Amino acid sequence: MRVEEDTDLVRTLGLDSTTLINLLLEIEDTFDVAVPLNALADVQTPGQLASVIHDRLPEPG
Amino acid sequence: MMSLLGKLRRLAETREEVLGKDDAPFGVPVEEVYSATEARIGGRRVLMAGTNNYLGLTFDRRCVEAAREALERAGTGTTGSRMANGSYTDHLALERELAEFYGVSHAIVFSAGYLANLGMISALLGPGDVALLDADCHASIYDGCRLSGADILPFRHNDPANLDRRLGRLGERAARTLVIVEGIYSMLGDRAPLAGIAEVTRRHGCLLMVDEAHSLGVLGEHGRGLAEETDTEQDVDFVVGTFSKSLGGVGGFCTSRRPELEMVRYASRPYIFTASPPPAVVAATRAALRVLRTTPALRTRLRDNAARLYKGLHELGYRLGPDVSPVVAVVLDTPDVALRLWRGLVEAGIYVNLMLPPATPDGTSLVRCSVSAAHTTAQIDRICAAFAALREHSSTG
Repeated sequence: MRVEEDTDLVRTLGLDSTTLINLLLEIEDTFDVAVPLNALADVQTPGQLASVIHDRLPEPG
Repeated sequence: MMSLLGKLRRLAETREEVLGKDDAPFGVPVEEVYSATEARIGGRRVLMAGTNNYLGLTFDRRCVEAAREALERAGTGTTGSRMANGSYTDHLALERELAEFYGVSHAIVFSAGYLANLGMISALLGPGDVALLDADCHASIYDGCRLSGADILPFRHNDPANLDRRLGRLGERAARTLVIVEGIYSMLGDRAPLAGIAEVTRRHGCLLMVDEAHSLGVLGEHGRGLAEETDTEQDVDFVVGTFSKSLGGVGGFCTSRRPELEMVRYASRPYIFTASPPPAVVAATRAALRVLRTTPALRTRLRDNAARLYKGLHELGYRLGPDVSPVVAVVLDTPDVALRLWRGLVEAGIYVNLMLPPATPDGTSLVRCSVSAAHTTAQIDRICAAFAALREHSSTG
């Protein structure tokens, strides 16, 4: 399956609470950024997830 | 957007996909309870090996008599919260005895173990604070964090170095962080590396809470749990626990050397807005705590039984959790295989727990046994024999 920016994480990919937490752990380690579980409450797509991560990345320079 | 009832209907479809028409694994009718280790299910006498009844005290005469006396003396219920209806003598005595048992100055009793986590975490944390919890923590801990409004940051299960990195990333916010772990994790029966976690937590200047729900009465020379066993009690700010496992009742508690714990009574909605535990339950719990304190042989018996079952299942080639504990979890390849093994065991007269995602770590499917000090050696061997007979049909993950 091809995952697009607007693929539904829950309905299409079957993300449940456990996989969501594992995804969060991977995000933190990959991007060196703290993303609280609460910040994902309204996230439904990879695009929205990317935006949440991007907002928390340190300013370059 | 799915309708309110549509969500429940979707759940019904998922249930049928996994279980077929049979929903027995999640709500077995227990027709009669004969003892701490035997009950009638489906008209047959079944060996209970999935009850969390670690010390086997549910039928202990001292606990039953204490409950009966309190029932006659103080009635069936308190009909309200302690803030509104007052604290009964037994509530205050239980809190004194818990504080004394843990060697601290303060204890608070909640009406359920679930409420203890909800009540403590939501009183300690608020918006802007941080909950840094082990990713495998129990749902009650996650729910307490949600209720608090704090930022919820899980760290990798049993990984102090990962906790250290996450605390480092928080900078000054580490001072407003509560680190939360469990003594024994309920799904796989593994223990927290508490010495390492306590060291990291102390170095970053955070508070540490340990949920000893599955380790009270199980670990430590005096049965106080993992903090006692690992000599880290001085580093733990709050111990949370339950009466519904080793103590055979229902209810929860928190103990602490910190006087601020007393103010939780004014700050904790799950403490204030629910009825206090009924007198009979509190009296039985006090009696069970006395038995726990005065009968170390129960812990020895429990450890021997746990080791025997773990060794037996390991020798059969089943994949198990990493530590020997009263929670002996068998890891299966798929929910189907786990369901088949669970049904086979029940047919063989052995009751255990079926655990499926998302309640389990990493999407695993588990058949979980819990061992009791009340199990005889012959009963442990019967459990092993039933697993042996089903081994070739149970591919293990």
